[in-house]
Amino acid sequence: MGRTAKLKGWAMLALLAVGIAAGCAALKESRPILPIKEYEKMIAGRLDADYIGTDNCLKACHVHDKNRRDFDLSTMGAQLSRESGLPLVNCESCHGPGSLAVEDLTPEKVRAVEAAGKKPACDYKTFVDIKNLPAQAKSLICLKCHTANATFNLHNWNASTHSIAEVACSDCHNIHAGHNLKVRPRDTAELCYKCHQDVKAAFSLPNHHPVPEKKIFCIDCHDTHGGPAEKNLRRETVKATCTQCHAEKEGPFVFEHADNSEECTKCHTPHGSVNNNLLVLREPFLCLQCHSSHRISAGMSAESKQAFYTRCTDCHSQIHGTDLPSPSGQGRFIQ
Amino acid sequence: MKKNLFIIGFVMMLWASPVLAQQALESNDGDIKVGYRWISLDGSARSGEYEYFQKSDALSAVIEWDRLPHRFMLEYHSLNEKDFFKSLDYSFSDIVVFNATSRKLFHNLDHYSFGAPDPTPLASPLFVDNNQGDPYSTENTFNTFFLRLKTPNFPFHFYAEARSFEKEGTVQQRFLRGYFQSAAGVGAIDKLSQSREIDWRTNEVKAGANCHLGPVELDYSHTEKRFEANGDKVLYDLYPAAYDSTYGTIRASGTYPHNLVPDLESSSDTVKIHTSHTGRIVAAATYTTGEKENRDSGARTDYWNAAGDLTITPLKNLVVFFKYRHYDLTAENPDTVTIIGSTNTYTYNVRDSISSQKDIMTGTMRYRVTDRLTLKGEYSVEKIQREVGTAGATMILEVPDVTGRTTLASWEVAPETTKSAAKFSATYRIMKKLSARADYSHSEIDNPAYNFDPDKSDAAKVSLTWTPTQRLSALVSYSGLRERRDDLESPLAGGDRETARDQALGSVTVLVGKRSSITTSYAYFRNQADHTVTFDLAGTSTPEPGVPYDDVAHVGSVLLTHALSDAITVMAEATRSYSRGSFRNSGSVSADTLGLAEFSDLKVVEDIYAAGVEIAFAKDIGTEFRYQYREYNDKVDSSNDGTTQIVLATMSVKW
Repeated sequence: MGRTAKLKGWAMLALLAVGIAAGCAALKESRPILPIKEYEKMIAGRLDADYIGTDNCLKACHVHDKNRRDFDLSTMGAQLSRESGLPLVNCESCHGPGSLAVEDLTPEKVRAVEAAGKKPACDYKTFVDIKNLPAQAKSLICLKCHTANATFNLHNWNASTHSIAEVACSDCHNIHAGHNLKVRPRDTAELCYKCHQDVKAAFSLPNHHPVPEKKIFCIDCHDTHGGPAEKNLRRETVKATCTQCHAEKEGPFVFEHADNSEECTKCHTPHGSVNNNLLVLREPFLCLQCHSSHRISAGMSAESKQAFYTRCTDCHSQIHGTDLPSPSGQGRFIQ
Repeated sequence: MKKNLFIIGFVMMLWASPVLAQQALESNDGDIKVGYRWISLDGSARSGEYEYFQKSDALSAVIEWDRLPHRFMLEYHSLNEKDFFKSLDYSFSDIVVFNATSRKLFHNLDHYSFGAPDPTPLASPLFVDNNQGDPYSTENTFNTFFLRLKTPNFPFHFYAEARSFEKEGTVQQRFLRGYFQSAAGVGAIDKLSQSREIDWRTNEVKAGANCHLGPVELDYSHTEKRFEANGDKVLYDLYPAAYDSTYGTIRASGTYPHNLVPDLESSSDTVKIHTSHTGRIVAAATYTTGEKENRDSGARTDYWNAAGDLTITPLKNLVVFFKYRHYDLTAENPDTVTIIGSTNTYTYNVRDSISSQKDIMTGTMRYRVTDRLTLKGEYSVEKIQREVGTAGATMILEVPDVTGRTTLASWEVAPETTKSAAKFSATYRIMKKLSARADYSHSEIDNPAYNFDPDKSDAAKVSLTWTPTQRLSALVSYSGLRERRDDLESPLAGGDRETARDQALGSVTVLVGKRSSITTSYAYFRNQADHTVTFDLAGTSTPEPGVPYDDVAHVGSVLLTHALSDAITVMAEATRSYSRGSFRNSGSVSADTLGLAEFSDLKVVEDIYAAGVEIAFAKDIGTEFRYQYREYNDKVDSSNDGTTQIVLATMSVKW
């Protein structure tokens, strides 16, 4: 690491330290810049209802036993306990105050309904109508807690591809499912396929990254919460994403393939292709789109011509860049 | 190492102490499968591209153990020592978050052939495979580590990430040894194939901290990345003398290095800052500065990137998004390069690599007209400026100048390219269970840099989702892309290009009765291009317009599941993909381009058949049998044909 970079690093740390001091004081006073009041009303619940606590929700009905158990084990479930020192949450944090929903449900009535083999039901209409909220409002239910706590996995969320496409947090996360509230890496593809059926089809082509085989995962390349690059890529550029694994092609090299190598998708398609090496088009057509083919002289054998007009990378085997000059002394990617 | 672990443990304890007294809540969930996997191969391993062909024990375990505030999760899936996924999560409240994963996959690689041998071989062989029949494959190991520590009661985090990727194995190295323009004129091409041992390792370490700072939050991180090429880092071969018709012998015969894989290193610093995620106005910015260096050649790249997002919700139903991206790349490759042969050493001048600055500005507006209809419009402008040198400038090629040869000191690439694009989309819920979505975009490029870039492009996509009952769901979609380029640049000057890409998709899932389901799907891919291609015919450039290229793929699948009883479920699945393609030139040069068809034609049929049965002996104990048959049939080049059969039998226990 160069001296300049080190200095930059220390400067950043110093800035951070000053900021922390200021942040401690400002934490409790901090508010969103111009909150979206219309959505706040949607997710606040009935104003004529009172908060009654989790004990009157999950613990009151055996119907919710599984939900309760999963929820208790989730990150938010841990936050039910005041002793944890964490910000407290409970059912009503998301669903709104519940007094109106259970006002007709006395313990005796619940026992009687259960004894009859039926499930006691709350008056769900008095809760926040989460299912029918606009996606942005749905996400705000989560974001009202997952902001102001330095969760940088959501840094690019608001202008991300998913946010713009009205994908809400609950479309991918089941907050009642316990533990990490998210699917396991090996199961992410099935979750993503629910919307991205075209990508699933591309993975069925003869050449594909081993996503259907559950050996690499969608989240290896994509950050579902958004990123600085297009397509919710995990890294800042396409090249930076691809060279996570294909680092030998990253360079820099003495001889670069113009600035093509900065954009791998000019020649490769990442999900699936009928062509080997996930090429967008087959060689030599792929290369002949920009380059003139080699000369043919009348005296050449058919075999020589075959050699010229076949897979260009048989000879130009360092096509992603090279540090060695070709026999002509130029960077022809053949050495 | 032990000392470091102790320090980490001690720090974790200190940070965790405020909540240690919390009341414990314990649970323990598990799902363990133990079994055996048989696998067999007939022919090429292409049919099982990502399979390691060895019978083995199989083990799968997912265990969640919680004793709040401690939470553990272990995930372990292993088919053999070359194919596994392991993950361990631990968290202590939200104060300590830890995750480590280890993954390995085996990849069978093609052994490419050079084509049919000449019936009357020339004295100088054209295609030589030094290791015919060698199988090629790599073992790929990914390891990750993540640790985040948070101060109790205040959102300040310190985090560290480490990531390693290792690729080991034997690969095919194809390269050109003979220089095609020899003194003898004909028959001097010498294409070689040989086996190459690789052992490539990538290590990346990142450390950072972030904090809530009142109206904004700030994150800083530093990343170091190293790539090391071990194994056959560089190859050496005896090269014939290189000959130029004007300058004679330009490189003496001798042993020279080739196909070097250099060691690389890079580092970067990133600062992120954002406002609250819940405001009417939300802003986020990222700034990264970094450097990359090639440790073998000294080539360097310095870069800085900036990203800014602004989301404004002026009305309940209206959201406006602005995005700005800037990429600044300064390439500093060496002025000269030296190649050391067994008998001679040559030094050449090198033209500067392209440095560039790219700015992308995007404005998007989303308007929710009604609960059923959402409209979206987007306009973006992308501008790339490249430092390509003075057009046509040349420089002496060899140092010292022995032959008087010169080479281009500049790049024949547009110094400035501007792309503008407009997109429009509508999502409409026609009925309660029927939704439609339509997207259209048009883009134009001024001064496209490369001949495969269009100057006009139109894309459209339509999809329809129908779920009339819980027993039926259907999806139909079509997307198409049309691109046109009217005036190609040298060496295809005067030519043009038209491309068309189409994709159609249909999928239906039906639940039959209470115990059965059927899912059928079909996908169609078409990729077609008409492009001017230039053949250098006996020294004269001969452009041929409208040379057609196409490839088409059909993928169809059927999946059936049926519960014979509460305890027994069977499934069967069949998938077929059929791909074909061709590239043909015609007219005056067709007779001189033999071999094109052999390597450009494509006709592949891939079939996958699977069947399985799950039997539950008791509530938490069961067994499962899975069978899969895969066949890869390349109707043009049979060298990759083969079948793979896999049987997996497991017993499972849950608690």
